[in-house]
Amino acid sequence: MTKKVLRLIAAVLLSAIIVAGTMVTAFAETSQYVPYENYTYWEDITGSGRKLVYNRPMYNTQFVLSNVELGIEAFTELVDVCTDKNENIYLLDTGSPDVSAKIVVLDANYKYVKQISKVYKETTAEDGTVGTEELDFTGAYNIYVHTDGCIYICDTTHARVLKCDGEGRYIDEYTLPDSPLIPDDFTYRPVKVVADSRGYVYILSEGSYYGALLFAPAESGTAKEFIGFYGANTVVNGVLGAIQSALNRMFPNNDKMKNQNRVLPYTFSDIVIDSKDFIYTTTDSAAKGQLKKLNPGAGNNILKSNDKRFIDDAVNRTYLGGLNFALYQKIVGLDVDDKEFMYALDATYGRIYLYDAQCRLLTTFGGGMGSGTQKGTFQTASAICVKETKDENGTVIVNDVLVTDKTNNTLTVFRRNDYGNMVVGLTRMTIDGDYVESREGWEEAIKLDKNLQIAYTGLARAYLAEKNYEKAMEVALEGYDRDTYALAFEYHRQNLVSKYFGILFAAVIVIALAVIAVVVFKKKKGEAEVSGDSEWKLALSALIHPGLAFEEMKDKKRGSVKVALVILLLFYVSAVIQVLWGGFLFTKYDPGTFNSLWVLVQSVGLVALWVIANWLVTTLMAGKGKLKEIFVVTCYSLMPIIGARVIYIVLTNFLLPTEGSFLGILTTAAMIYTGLLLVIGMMRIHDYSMGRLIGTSLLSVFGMAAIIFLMILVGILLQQLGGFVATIVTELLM
Amino acid sequence: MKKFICIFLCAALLVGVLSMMGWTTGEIWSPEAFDEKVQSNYSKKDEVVASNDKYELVWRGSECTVDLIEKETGTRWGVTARDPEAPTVNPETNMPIKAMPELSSVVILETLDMENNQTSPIFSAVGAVKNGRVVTEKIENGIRIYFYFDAVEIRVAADFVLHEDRVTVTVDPKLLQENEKYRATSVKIAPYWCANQNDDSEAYLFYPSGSGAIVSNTTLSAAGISYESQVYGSDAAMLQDTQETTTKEVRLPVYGAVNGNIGTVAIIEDNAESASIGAKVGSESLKFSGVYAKFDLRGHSTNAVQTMNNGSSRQEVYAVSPAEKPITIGFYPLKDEMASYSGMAETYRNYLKANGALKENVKEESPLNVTFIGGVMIDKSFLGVPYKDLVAATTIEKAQEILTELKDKTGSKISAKLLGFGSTGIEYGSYAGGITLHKNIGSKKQLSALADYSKNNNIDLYYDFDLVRLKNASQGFSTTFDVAYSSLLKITTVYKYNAASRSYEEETGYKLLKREFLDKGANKVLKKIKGWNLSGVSLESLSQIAYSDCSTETTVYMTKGNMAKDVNDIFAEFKKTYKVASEDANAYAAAASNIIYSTPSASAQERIFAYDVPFYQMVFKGYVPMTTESINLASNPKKELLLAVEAGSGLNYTLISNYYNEFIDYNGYYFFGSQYSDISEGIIATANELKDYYAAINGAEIVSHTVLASGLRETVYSNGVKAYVNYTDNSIVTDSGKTVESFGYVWEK
Repeated sequence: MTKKVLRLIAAVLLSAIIVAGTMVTAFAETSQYVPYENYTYWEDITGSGRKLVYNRPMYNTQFVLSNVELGIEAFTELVDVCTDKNENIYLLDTGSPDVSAKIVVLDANYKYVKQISKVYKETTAEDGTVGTEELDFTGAYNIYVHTDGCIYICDTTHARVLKCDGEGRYIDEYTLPDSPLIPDDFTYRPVKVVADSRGYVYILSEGSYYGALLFAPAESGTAKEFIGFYGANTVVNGVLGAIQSALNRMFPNNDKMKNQNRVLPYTFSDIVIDSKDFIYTTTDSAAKGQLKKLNPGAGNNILKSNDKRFIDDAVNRTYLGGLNFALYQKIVGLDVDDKEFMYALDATYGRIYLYDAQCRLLTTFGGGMGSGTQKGTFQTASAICVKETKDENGTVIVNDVLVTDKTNNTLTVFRRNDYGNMVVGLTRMTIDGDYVESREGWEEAIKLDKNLQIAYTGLARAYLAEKNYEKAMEVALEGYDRDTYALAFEYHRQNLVSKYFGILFAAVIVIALAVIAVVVFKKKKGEAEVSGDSEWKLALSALIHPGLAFEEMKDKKRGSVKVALVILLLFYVSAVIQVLWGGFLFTKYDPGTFNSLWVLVQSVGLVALWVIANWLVTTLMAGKGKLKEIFVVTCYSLMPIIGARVIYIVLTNFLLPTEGSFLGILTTAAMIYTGLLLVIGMMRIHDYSMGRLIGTSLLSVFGMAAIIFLMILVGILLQQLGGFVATIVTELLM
Repeated sequence: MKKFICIFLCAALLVGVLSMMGWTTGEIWSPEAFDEKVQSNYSKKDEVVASNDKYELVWRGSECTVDLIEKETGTRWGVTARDPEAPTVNPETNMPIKAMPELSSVVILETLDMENNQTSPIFSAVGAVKNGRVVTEKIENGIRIYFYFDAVEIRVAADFVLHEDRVTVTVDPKLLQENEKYRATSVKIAPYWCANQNDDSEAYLFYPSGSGAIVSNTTLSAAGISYESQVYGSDAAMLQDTQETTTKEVRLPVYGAVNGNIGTVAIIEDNAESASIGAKVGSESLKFSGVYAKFDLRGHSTNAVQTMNNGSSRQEVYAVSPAEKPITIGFYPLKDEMASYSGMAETYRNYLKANGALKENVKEESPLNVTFIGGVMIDKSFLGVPYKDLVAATTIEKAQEILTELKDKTGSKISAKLLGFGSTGIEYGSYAGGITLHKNIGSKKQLSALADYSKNNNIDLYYDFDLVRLKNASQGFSTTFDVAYSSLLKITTVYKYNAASRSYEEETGYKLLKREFLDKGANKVLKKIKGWNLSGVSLESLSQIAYSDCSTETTVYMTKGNMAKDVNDIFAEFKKTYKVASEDANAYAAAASNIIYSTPSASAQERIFAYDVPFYQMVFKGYVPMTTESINLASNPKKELLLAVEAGSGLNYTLISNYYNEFIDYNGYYFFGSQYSDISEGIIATANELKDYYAAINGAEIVSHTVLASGLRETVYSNGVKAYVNYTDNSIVTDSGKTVESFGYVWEK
């Protein structure tokens, strides 16, 4: 209880601070204009696409430090940055053949403190003389400072990880373990290292796809121990891949074997650890699931991120001259703050991407794309680190993101502004379930930035928690948040049902009675015969007695083109309104991409294509059906689909996605029914046996493909002709 | 008769074809051939070549450079950057000590090797002086120096002329000599006149990026850092391959250097359009840091070329003929209290006044300024058939309601701009927004009523027309024949850049109106808006976009040539009937405006810039009313507000009355925090809070601006008002005993 109350109080206080902070706008950073775009992605209504939207900057460039500002000799190549628990900053200069590597230590205020350029190891000679060996770590790529103050240096060139104290005194080192778990061809080039609170050390070796080398700490009487590889990426293989693998194994040859070897898991590009000993990894070559959070034991990804597209898509940059070349993302660094927000650094774009604990992108900042000269942009961003200053209550008062650039040899410090603090704080509150307390804050956030999709989710959740379901649905709809909308809708529907149960119940009874009355009345009047006297009745009777109806249509020539056209029109219209009027939880209507003319092609065009192809084939295959009959039968057969669509449209406005499986069954049943009607109809009008029907139908499908192919061919020819004419005109005019 | 008709028809056809192809009868010229036999004639001694009451212009024969000497004190300003305390003569050999070639070059020429299309620089001190290939000629109040660069077979002439208060250096492209193998592409003139020794604690450089930036001269590396930016912004007609970052353009053709109580401000007086201002800072080998102006002698553009491995490379393509207008920089010596960026601003302001660009002090500035966004084209559908329609973000009616509320609750003088009220809203579409008001936004009658309301309530109302960009053929302008061409002789299409995909969005491409049709377009607008009852128009795009045009055979429009004059002519035409507003305007348009919206509040944030100063505002304050950038769209509204106080600029807000979710489809910044109902209270409170301050500084010039040691920024106005702004994390007490809170301000009379 106490914990819950305390959390509530903390949430209310944080909310108050956030809102008050925004109103007072007591900003503290010193830079106003930012020379890069700040943006996030807005998940579109289809749920599969995303659209870039610019947003209000959450970080501003505080300052850029180089050796000049620090008053020290020039850096050779600044490759890494990290902080310790006292907020001291450690910069790793990897050095060069002529210049030794060094670790430059700054205090929490970014003032130079000292340098460590060697690790000093006490040695004892054979004669017992105690000496000191200076271990050089030139070529090192990574440092990590543990909470106990020990520094781990990934001495890549010397294939070891050095562990020393804050003064550079040697404590231990991690070389390639002699273990049967290590493959024979394994090359040990440590490039990243972290250690957890129990002293377990995780080391990434360059190019290793086995995962991180995990060392257990030395305990009394035992030496440190290599206990295996941890958390490797896996190869994602689809059904086709599995089939191909099976075939390759069944019929091997050299080429196939070569290709087989190439299918390896992606390697990690960075590894970080949070305060709860969860390991986070980055994978820079994958298109999805680049960030992972691994549990300390099994190394499984506990983020729902395997299908999440992080960072930006690969850039297929188009020159204005029409040429293009691809640029691929390169996630070189990651850090995680105490609130589990992830800060990913991409070296190709020079951008920092801020994700919340649920992998939602809050903002993107930085830039330069290999040529940045402005403050906050990079040429070769090399490492990222988050530094947070907290007050005595543990509340973060300053959040700095530190990024090194190994070409410019600078350390850029981005500071989160009040707006950023507000959004991050509110996001955390929403994740923690403090919805009600966050409402005011989210309202304020939306006023400041209407493009922030996450704010709509937060606000919708807040309204939901306040039982203001209609408002929650409205806001969730604005933010395309189906999950929250569904939750709110469920409650809203419950309320409606309980409120109007009497009326609804009465209405259902009345409708049922009315239907029964109509049926009984019609039966008495003898109107429920297989065939009636009107064209429409015949069409409708085809649904129940297709054999008789189609036979009558063939024999008595009662098939109506007019009715068929109307049905075809309804088929098209129902397809369109299914998208336009379907419930928000089921449809994916996007006015920017949806085009009903394309639906026309897909529906009416398809029917026309089938009718023509079938007529062409059956004419050659002794079919008795005429073009008109084929058309009429095809259109009449579409009625089940039309009916299913109407039901779909109605139900999607009342059902929840969890109840929607029925709709799938309905749609499938309607399609099967349509297929059945078509088969019966075709058999009747062509007077075919089943076997012949299947044969002609397959040929009809082939004919449809041939017609499409011809149309494409003609289209291409026309396009080329057009281009040729345009070229001549241009040449003449120039 | 038949024959006559035939000839007539043929002639008509020929004329038609020629006019369609945009041919004009403009003359093109070619430089003279390089004269390799000319004999050098220059004096190797120091000589006074011109003199007035205060200064002497001295020819330095040993280096073939020129110095300006103050007669009374012997203080020197000049081409060569040198340590004033270092000996100029070697005591052992009694020979003059020569500065490094780069530091003592009058011109640095960039040349194009026509065989391999590579450019390379050549210094006059090495390429001509070292070989003794210099010819001088006495001209009125000065000297003309011809540099013969034998290696590239190019001659360049530089005229040094002494005036009452400055020395002008002119390079006239008409005096160029060239041969076939090399072409002159650009020239840096007196590149180290505005330079300081590295690590001199009393020295700094001034660079006019955005609002203005101070560049420190700390030693950085062996080569230092170089930076260049085009004056009046990037040439919009040049193909830009990438825009990885945003920037603040150079809007003023001014730069300078200060060292203790001595300084120089350089004003590009002629052909600033073709100039870039550069800085080379912190070079260990040069030991000097400097700012300079570089002039494009030929129009150029980037071409992408496919390489063998399906990659691509970029190639710069240059125009055949050089630009023909002379290039002139005025170097103004500054001393004592004038030797500061405040002094530079005053000098530039005086220059503008002397040239008639700035006239009398403004009588009434507007403390509160708003920009209403009319609407945006949104994807809609009718029965599933997609189409685009304008969704009104602010209707005329709503704009009037907002103005009424602001007027009633603040009592301030207000300026209001209507942006994107035309046929395609804020998207590019028809020329000048179709010179119409979109029906979804309001009717002409409503606009007229708004205009009347504004006039009656002392509100300046400006309706924006884009006179430069067009996406569709409209108003009689074709997007094929009436648009600007790049030096590749291709139609220039400018695209919006997508930050995430890092590519240009093809569908956003717009064209630039042919330069020679700018006035024609303006006249069309003037003619069509006669009955609109407007009192002001905004010419946002015209005031900030400068571009070249190679669609005609004349070289006049190359390297953005004549842009200032063309724009000034159009402004003058509009000002006969209307007040004219500009935005983030280039110097020529700023000076001609009745108000400048969104004056730059920062520099481009280059790493070589130590800190920003409100130089732009210092020049125009008191003469042209100005506004800050949009406070509500700024990353830090509070900081933007402080910048308004510091620079004496009016408050500026970008507003819409209605927000729709579909606006997220607009690739831009206007909508994320601009809904009036969300921010109205803040606007009113801020306007009321600053009302007295704005009243106190109304019409006053900024006489000095100082960044005090404490970090406090002090702005002093000509009427004695002082404003202090504190951007530091601590409160600071002023000399007069007032406490300025962290991120706060105080002002006093």
